[in-house]
Amino acid sequence: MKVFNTLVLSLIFSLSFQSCHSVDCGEGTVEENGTCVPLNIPDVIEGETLCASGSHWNSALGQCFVDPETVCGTGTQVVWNEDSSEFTCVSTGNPELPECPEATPGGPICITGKVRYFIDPGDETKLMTSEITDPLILDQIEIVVYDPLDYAAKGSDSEPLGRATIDATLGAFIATEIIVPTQGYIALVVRDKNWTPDSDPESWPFTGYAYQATPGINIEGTYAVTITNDQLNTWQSDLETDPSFIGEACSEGHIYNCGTWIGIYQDEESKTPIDGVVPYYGTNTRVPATSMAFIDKNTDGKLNILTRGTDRAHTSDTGIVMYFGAELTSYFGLCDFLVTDNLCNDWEMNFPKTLQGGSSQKTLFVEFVDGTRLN
Amino acid sequence: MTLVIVTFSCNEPYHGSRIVGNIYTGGVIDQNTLVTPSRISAGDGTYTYPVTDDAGYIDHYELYAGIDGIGTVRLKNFLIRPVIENHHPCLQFVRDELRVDDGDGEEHFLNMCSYPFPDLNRDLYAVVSAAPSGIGTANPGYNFLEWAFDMRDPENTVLNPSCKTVGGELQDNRILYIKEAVNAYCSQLHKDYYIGNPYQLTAPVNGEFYGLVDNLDPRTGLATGGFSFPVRYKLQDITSIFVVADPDPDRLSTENFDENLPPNPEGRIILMGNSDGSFGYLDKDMFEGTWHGLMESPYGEQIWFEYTLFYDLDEDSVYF
Repeated sequence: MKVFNTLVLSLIFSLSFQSCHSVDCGEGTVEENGTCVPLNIPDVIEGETLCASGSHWNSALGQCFVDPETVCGTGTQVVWNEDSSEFTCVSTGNPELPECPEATPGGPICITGKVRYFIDPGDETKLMTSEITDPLILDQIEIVVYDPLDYAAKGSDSEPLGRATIDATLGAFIATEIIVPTQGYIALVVRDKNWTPDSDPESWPFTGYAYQATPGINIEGTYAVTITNDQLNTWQSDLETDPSFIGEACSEGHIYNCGTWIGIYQDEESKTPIDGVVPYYGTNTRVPATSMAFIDKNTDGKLNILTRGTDRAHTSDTGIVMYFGAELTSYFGLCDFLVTDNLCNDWEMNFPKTLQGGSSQKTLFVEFVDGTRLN
Repeated sequence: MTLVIVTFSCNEPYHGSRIVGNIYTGGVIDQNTLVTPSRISAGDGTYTYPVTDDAGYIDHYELYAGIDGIGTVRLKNFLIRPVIENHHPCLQFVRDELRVDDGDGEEHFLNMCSYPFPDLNRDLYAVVSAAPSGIGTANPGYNFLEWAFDMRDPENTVLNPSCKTVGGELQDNRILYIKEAVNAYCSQLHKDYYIGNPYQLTAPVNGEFYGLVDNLDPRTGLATGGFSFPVRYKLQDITSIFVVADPDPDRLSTENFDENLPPNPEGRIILMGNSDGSFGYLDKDMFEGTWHGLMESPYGEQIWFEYTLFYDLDEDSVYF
């Protein structure tokens, strides 16, 4: 009897382990709650319709693959492996930018890059990301390198540090033999071709964008920024809807004639634009409410809303402010403690007083104001 | 007799798999853009709600696995939602349980815009269940400005509430609703329609809370993130895993919700990981009983989905 009991218990034990989870689903199926159900198997004929947008059908392998064109950037070409299951992005061998000569330590530098719209007129949601590669447009502009502090002080009497050559084929520019000023700032200026001092813009207002530079270290793959004349006129017309504001903001009656500094407040590390910043300059002076306006987004994300400083004292989530008639001095910002729902307060942003900026008559000057997040 | 009972007990079904993951983003991605159904921030604490045919609209996410490199299976439908919607009508009559009774005899409710701001509507996002579409008022969608219109108090003047302050005073902070109408409405929502719990995030007022998108908790500044959900398929043979941002609510209709639909051609693969390492990776060797993987954006966007896959809970040596 004891032997029989042992046998029964052994049988119970073994059966309880043998028959559980015994479902073995064949190819093309998967187990769902104990049952084999069919997979979605892309059909060779219908394969293309099964691939999500941004991907394509490989009939040989019967799979959807991400479109390589969305992965490989300009200046590269797609190269597939033998069974066409993987691709790599390989340089076309054609340089995307002109090639700089090697800089000598402490010596003049070379700058290469492309031209970007400040706000893309074709897609106003894009800030300083859209490159201008159309040779017809590039043929309308010239790019000049200045000492921005010298230009802010002297205006059009300032001598350029050099001029860039535009390669319309590459859609890029190169400036060589640039001697870095002692204060370490250089500005790339985009303006109408054959610009003359104190002239009104035809299509491309005098727009500067500053970099910090070090003697002997080339700046390659950077960009210059341009603002279209249409954009400038749109801003001006918008501000003129309140004649008292534009009259007080700019004694010259036009924000280009006064000269305008455009600051973009951002977190230095994440590059996130910061809202809730009250612009300051000098040692501790608020930018006058009557002399500034903020560039905001509409509900579609387009950067086409202008809010006067008299209507709001701080930046929106674009982080962008325009200061009309800005003088050459240091620029920073403090958080507006009268409002709480903003990144400036939430992150306890600190914008140091070391950044030099400004503008001059018939000049637009674009500059990032980097801050440090303390929270 | 004993033998017969034991034999039947061994028809135990497969217990499924579990994914424990974390979605994290780089600094340039605004996590509000991950919210589904999509909403657009006006930057002042208010939102607009695009609809199905609007460009860029995302209705929900679908998690897929590729099996044996020959086919796919839809593993899970899910949403990313703000953990709390400050102005959700179903939260407007949540009693303020922590308030000291001042003896005024009135019933007090949570002020969802109280200062200082830990704005969980804007800064903290949850991975939650998706409810079936097309089931009427049991899943009214997340544009409450539209569906709760009939429940507003006739005295209400607020059209689009926000938590904006001017001079320290809250502006347009709350839509006035009829309490009885709201309570009746909110009590019949589908069990998977998510409404956050301001007292305890992990126990939502409605729906299923799987976890959080990686971020800093705005209340404490501490890092938080990670989620977990079960999958009813056996994932022994997966070779890829990917997430599709899907614009079509019909794919979550009651007829389609549990169907193994193929990926929607109108959708967009936003995250992908393959065992061959061409996108992200899927490591089946590092740990016994569990696999570890990473999905990345095939477009190079700064979003990642790292996960541990407990592919067979019956065999897993971790012993749940």
